[in-house]
Amino acid sequence: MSDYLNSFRLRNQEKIDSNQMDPRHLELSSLFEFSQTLNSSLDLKSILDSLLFVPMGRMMIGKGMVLLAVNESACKIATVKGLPADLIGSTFEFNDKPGDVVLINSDSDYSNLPEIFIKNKIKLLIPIKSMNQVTGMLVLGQKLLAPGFNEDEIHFLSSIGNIAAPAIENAKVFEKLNTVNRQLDHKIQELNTLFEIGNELNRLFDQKEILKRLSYSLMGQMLINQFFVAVKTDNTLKVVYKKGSIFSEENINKCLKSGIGKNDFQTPLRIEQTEEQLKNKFCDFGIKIIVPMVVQDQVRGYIFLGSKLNKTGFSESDVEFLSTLANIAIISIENARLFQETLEKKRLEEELNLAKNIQTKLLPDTMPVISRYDVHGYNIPSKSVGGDYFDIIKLNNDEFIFTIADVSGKGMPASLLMSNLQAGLHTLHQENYSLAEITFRLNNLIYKNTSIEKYITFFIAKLNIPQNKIFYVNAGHNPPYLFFKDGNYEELSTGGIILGMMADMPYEIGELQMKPGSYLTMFTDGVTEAMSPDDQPFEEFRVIDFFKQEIAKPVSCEQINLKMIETLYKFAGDPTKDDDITILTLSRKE
Amino acid sequence: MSGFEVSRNDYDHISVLYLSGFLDAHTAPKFEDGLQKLIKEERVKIIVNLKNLDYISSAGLGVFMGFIEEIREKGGDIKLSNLSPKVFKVFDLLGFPALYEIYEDEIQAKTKYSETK
Repeated sequence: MSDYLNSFRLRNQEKIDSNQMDPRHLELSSLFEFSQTLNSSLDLKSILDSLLFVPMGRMMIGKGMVLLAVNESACKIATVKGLPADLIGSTFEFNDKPGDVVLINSDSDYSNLPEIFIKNKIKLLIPIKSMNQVTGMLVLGQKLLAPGFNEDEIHFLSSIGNIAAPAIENAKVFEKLNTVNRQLDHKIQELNTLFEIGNELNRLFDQKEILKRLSYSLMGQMLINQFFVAVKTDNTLKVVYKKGSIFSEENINKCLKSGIGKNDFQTPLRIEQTEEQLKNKFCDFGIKIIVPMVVQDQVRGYIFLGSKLNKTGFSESDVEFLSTLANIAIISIENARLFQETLEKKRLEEELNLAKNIQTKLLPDTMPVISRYDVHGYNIPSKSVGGDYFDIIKLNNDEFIFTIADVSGKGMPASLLMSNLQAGLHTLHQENYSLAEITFRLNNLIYKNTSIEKYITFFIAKLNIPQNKIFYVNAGHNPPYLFFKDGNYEELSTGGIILGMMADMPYEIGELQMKPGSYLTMFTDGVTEAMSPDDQPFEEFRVIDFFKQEIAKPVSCEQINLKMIETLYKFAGDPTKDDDITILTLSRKE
Repeated sequence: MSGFEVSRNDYDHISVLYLSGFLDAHTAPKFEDGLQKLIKEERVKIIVNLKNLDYISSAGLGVFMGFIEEIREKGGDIKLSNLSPKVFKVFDLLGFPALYEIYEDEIQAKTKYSETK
């Protein structure tokens, strides 16, 4: 500014002295106003516009443009007036940009200048300099009324260029700052989205809900509405979520079969950047980018994305975002799966416990008092639901039924079959059937209700107290023993085939005398097959030896049962590890 | 957790959804339900008035994206009105103004629908 004022004074000393300076005063004030306008704005476009409008208006120039240096050898057209608007934004080569005003008087003056100046009949080039560098140029056509520019006008325009230079620089910095700020805001938005979805997904244990949330974030952040998610189950990709209309079932299947998933890739694949063959394949489907979903270096699925709605490509930052989002989502999906599995397991366990409880309730919880007799039954279920069963049913004051059974298999099926047997027995005994008939009917019932590999070993005995007699049927159960005081014993094997194998089988009734001091013991194979640490089964002979020894002096059935079990624990460690243990003992008091 | 509400008013062939509170991944399903209901009733000329919306996250914007294709195919649109500067900033950052018409107020959006009826 001071340059201009000095030269103004120098050139117009005479007129200043003679007070003839009104038009110059006007020029000066317009410069001042221009300077104020420029410095009050940080908007590059409005600065450049006033940079053109001021000289065009004052000197009646029909066209002009402002160039900004892109680098040493090129310029960009930043704005134009009176020239086609599509010139804005174009760049052209411009080496050795003149540092001083260039006034073009004849065609030969164009010789060293870019073609664009001839084409648009440019008459005046005014450099815009910042720190001695030409950073831009004010370019004007000719005046509409008077030809040429006089010295004052050139000085004036040159000053305008100088004044504009810092304002342009500031605006450029401001613009850059704005861009950076916007990028930062965008990044923050991305992080917020990731943070939010992370929080949200931690709360969810349902795959459908997780995918829904994933889709919101994906669509909102990426401006897309065409994508699908495929997750691996048993090493094959299965589509679990799909949005948008461009992915038909057929295309998706082709796409999944195209080899994706066989050769896993751990980083997002931009289709445009892949080899031609793959590119064609996926472009046909409208897929632009494939983002792997990775858990601990394992690819567990992919997100396939179509184009963004605003037609821009996926930036580096977008790809990073997608990758992180995909990984967060797959972890949640995995967790949800594990959670569901745990729930399922827990539900099963609860059901098993329930079944166990029901089963325990099917067994007698108190022992009946039978005059002149003593009875005790004991069942230790193994960890899972077992299939052992025993029961004591009072028919009348003189008659009692004792039964023991072992259902094949374990768990729920065995338990169900056992309750079936129990219900059958409790119905049948009321009908005044003989033991053989009861067993015959039970066999048919079980045969009808089960497959061939399910069966029950069954023993049923009826005690007649006045006669002190035992009637019994043994349907394939390991034989109970009746021990006498003198050390002899009887094996109770009369009967027939196991229940549930064949229909309409006959059963025979066995009969024995209960002498005073004798013990009838019934048990399941959990006793005889209890294994010692060196894999020896307990076997029948140990049961027989045990009872022979124990009944030498009078002992209650409860005591002898508990001692039997104690012996089993000593022998086998935990005899209930593999099977239930059931013992039912009846003795006639002396 | 912050609340979010969607209410609705039908004017002739136009439906206006009023959103208030916080629209994020957590509350997005509520907004989705609202839009889904409109589509089901074939009321696809939709204005979403955001006057009382305090906050919107990318997931919230995702709901807009999820339906726009279907709605435009049916000859409708989602136009937005009454965005607070804070809410507008999020829309702007993610490039939504290029895809959605955004109006100062509901009346302008309605007028636009009437013009193109």
